[in-house]
This record gives sequence, C-alpha cells and structure tokens, in this order.
Amino acid sequence: MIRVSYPYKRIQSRRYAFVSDGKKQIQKIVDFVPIGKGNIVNLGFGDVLPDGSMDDTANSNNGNIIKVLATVIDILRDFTSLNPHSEVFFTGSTDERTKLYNRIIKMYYPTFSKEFVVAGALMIQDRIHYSPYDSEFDQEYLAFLVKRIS
Amino acid sequence: MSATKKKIVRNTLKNRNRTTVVIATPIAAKDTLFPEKVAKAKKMLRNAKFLDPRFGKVRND
Repeated sequence: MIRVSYPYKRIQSRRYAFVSDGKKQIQKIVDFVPIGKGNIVNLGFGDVLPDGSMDDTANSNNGNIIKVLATVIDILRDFTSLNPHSEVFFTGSTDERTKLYNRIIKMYYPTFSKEFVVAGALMIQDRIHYSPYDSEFDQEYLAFLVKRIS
Repeated sequence: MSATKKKIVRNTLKNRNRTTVVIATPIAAKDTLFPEKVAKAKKMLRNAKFLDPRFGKVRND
C-alpha cells in the first residue's frame, strides 16, 4: 500500500480535511454522504477554492497525486473502521480521473484486498452491473464499491 | 390476569412479529459539498444489478 500520506482531520462525522502540500498548499475535503440506498455512501473529494466553494474536477497539478490519494485511502480506512457496514461508492468526476482510480486500484489491489472487498461497475446491455473486482480484467470499471472486511 | 395485562400481552405478541423498516432520510443538496457526485452515484446505482453478493443490499427507489 502507498505509505506516505498527509495528516488529516475529521471535521464532522462524515467529513475530513487535509492540506495537499506540493508546489502550493491546497485544502482538500473528503465527504462521505449516504445516498439513501442500503448502507451505500458516496465518497466525494475535491479542492476548497479561495471563495470557499468546492471543485471536484480541478486538476491541480500539485506534483503529489500519489500522496494525495494515499491520504484519501487513509481517510477511507478511518471512516470504514468507524462505520464498518458502510459500502463506499466512488467514481471519477471525469473519465481521466476514473481511469486513474482504475490504475491505482489495480496497482495496490494485492494489499488493498487484505482490508477491503471491492466491486466494480460495468455497463452490460445498457444496465450497470456490480461484479467482484478482478485485477486481471482488461476493461475499465466505471465506478467502485468498497467495504471493509469484517 | 387483569384485562389491562391481557391487552398488554396481546399487543406485545402482536408487535413481536412486526418488522420496522427504517428509511434513511435523503440527503438534501445543501448538506453535501458534492451534490453532482451524489446525483451521479444515485444514477449509477439506480436499477443496478449486483452480481457481487457482498454488496448492494439495496432498496430500489
């Protein structure tokens, strides 16, 4: 698993903050929101802009994407240890971002799978199917669901 | 046994088999920092088929 990450703070029961300290300092927020279906929560993640609004599409090019994602994984670990029945849904805000998440999960799956079970979303005949994640699968997943192994 | 006690016992037995369904309160757009992401998640989970039995004990809308 990625080792180096930023310190983070749980600012509300489902909301975390940290500072991405790269070429510049960028405040990041990770937000878990129940979507009203079973135990599924959406993981939202983005930058706090100077005017206080959020941007989850920004490509900040801060030179530290691995460290930022490692921090998000640490936060995911903390949230799911506090809410072990939660099923966390996430997808990229852009196709590129979803591709990046595919690459990261594929790369770290051997370690990640010791702590989490993962399902990936695939479009099959115009309907989204969530199937067990397969790191050997050569198609890109559209989204992911992860759950802590109890 | 008094009539009141009988009534309590009867109601208790009746309620024993009753299932309480707790419906999660939908999150208002103002309560999330990423409303578009939440909307996207809802869309991608609506009518989805769960082939992985570990996930998706999900009610349909």
